[in-house]
Amino acid sequence: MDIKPIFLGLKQNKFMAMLMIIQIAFTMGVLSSSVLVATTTLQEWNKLSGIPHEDIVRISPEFFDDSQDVGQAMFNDLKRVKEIPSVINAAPSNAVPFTAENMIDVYLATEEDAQGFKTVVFESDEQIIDVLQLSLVDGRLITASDVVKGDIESTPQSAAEVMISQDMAQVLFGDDSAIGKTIWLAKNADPVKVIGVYSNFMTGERLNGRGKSYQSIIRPQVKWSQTQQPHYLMRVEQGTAVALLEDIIDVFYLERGRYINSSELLKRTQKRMYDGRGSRALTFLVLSVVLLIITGLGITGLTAFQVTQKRKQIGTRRALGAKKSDIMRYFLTENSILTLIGLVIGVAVTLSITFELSEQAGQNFFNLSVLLMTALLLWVVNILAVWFPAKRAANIAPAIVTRSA
Amino acid sequence: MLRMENVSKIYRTDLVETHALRKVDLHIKSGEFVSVTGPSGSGKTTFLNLAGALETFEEGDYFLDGHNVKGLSDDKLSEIRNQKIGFIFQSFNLLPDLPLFDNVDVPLRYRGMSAKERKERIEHALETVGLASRMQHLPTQLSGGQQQRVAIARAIAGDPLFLLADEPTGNLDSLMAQQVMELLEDINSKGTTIIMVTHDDQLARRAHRNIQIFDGQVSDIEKSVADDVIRSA
Ligand SMILES: Nc1ncnc2c1ncn2[C@@H]1O[C@H](COP(=O)(O)OP(=O)(O)O)[C@@H](O)[C@H]1O
Ligand SMILES: [Mg+2]
Repeated sequence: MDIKPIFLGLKQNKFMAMLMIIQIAFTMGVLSSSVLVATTTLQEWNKLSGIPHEDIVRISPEFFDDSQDVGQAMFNDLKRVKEIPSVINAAPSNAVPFTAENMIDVYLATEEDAQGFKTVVFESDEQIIDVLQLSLVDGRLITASDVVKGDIESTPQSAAEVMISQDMAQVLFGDDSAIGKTIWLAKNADPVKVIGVYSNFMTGERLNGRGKSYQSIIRPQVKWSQTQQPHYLMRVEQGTAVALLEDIIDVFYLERGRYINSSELLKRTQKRMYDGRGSRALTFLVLSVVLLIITGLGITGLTAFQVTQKRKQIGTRRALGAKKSDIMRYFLTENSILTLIGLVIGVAVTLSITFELSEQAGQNFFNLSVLLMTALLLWVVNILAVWFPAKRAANIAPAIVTRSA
Repeated sequence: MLRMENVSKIYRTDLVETHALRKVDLHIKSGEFVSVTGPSGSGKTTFLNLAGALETFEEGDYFLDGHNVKGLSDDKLSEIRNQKIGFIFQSFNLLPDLPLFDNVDVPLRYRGMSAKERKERIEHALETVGLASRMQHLPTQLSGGQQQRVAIARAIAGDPLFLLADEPTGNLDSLMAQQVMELLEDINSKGTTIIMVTHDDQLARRAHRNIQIFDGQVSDIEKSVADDVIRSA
């Protein structure tokens, strides 16, 4: 390919060349960063929840009668719910999967500069293991006798033994066994001992984004006050959740003094978690497509402008022996050179953007094959964008050299 | 070497048909220096475009080097222009972005010659027109006369069958025009055929042979006769 004359031509048209390169580099930077973030986000959708969320229902009651014994009422409610034939099990829990409620830092030491590890603490009773269908990986399960129950005011003591998830154990202790190890749920808190490790389940959006979706702790304690009660999580027979929800809610109205503040099928909680990220990813993608179209039109416009400006020169080349295909090739090659330079700069921009984003989100957005695909896409759009003005250039009649002054 | 038989060119628009050339019969032999003259609008440029394979025509035959040019594909015509014809235009038509060396290189590249051969030919051609020392200059750094000499170098670098010059001195002052004309005569004296369209009678008279076009019709006049015609006009 005759690249030298093209380079000489570009040398004399530096401004135009720079404009094209900047446009391509900018588009590549924004496009590939968006696509990388979007694909990484959408990949989250394939992550396993670790629980049969289709068959789990959350109910959040609210007690408004101050004279009521909340503890007793909760006990009654749970008992009645479990009596519904299709309800398999129920447990109180201050946190709900997929929502990352109760996110805290857990520590391996109490020093000032001790490193914290993100986690979500589920305060619940021994039934939670069965409700969420978790399996024991190491150590032992919590039992009814481990559970500390009581009104917050009259129950100052807390459970001193906890179970942690597999990922949590991995993060805290690596390949060492977690059993018997001591951790702190706050720097100034009493130490707690790990007695068991359970299978991973997804805790929620905020940890998801950090690639720490499965770091959680179950603490066998149920506490309440007149103004604050835990949620109820209940597992029902497969496929009955939707039909059963109203029956379950009804139970909470059998006794006076409380109502259902909110209730949700966990499959919807999961969907809700992804909706926000999904629409963000989608917005990114739509903006990328718009940008791609604008860039394409921009390149078409710039090239068409060049062709119009160089009609006489193109006619001269044709008169001197250039075939139509030579003229096409000239413009396509010129564009490819600029695209290549633009892409290299664009990739550098992308790398720094995704590096920055990855740092911020604690999540790796980089993916070589997605980056290459984006570059290829941009290349194809560029070729299409140049194709039509180049075709017009190729169709300039050689006779214009003698016909126009 | 170049033979037109019964060639006509009609430009058709929605409203009018212009018979730009009517039944032209013409034979130009190798080594000739032919001038083409005629009033404005008579068909000189049309003749040049057909002779230079820049435009196609529907009627008649045009033999170049024994081969009929009529009806050839666009690619084939490009090849013929590239290999058999050297063009010299009134407004020089150098490519402004390319140094002189690369300007002369343009037709040679389309011919697919080796870099070494191209370099030799370019240097030789630029030497012939006296601009070898300015190979890396851009066209805008040259005077009009110099630019036209570069265009001539570009036209002769590929050793074409003939040079086709369209008012080659039309944009030059008389001194430069003189130099360019002398250069063309010099090139012709070494054997290159030249066909030159001009409306300058002085120049036309310096050719071996003058072809006059009136209203699309060609009258071919040998040099001796041409001189008389021009003198008495
Ligand atoms: N592309 C064209 N379309 C229509 N008519 C044309 C075209 N080119 C030339 N003509 C007409 O053909 C005739 C000959 O033109 P031309 O060859 O340019 O004459 P000259 O070069 O002698 O001035 C003129 O009447 C001109 O108007
Ligand atoms: Mg004319």
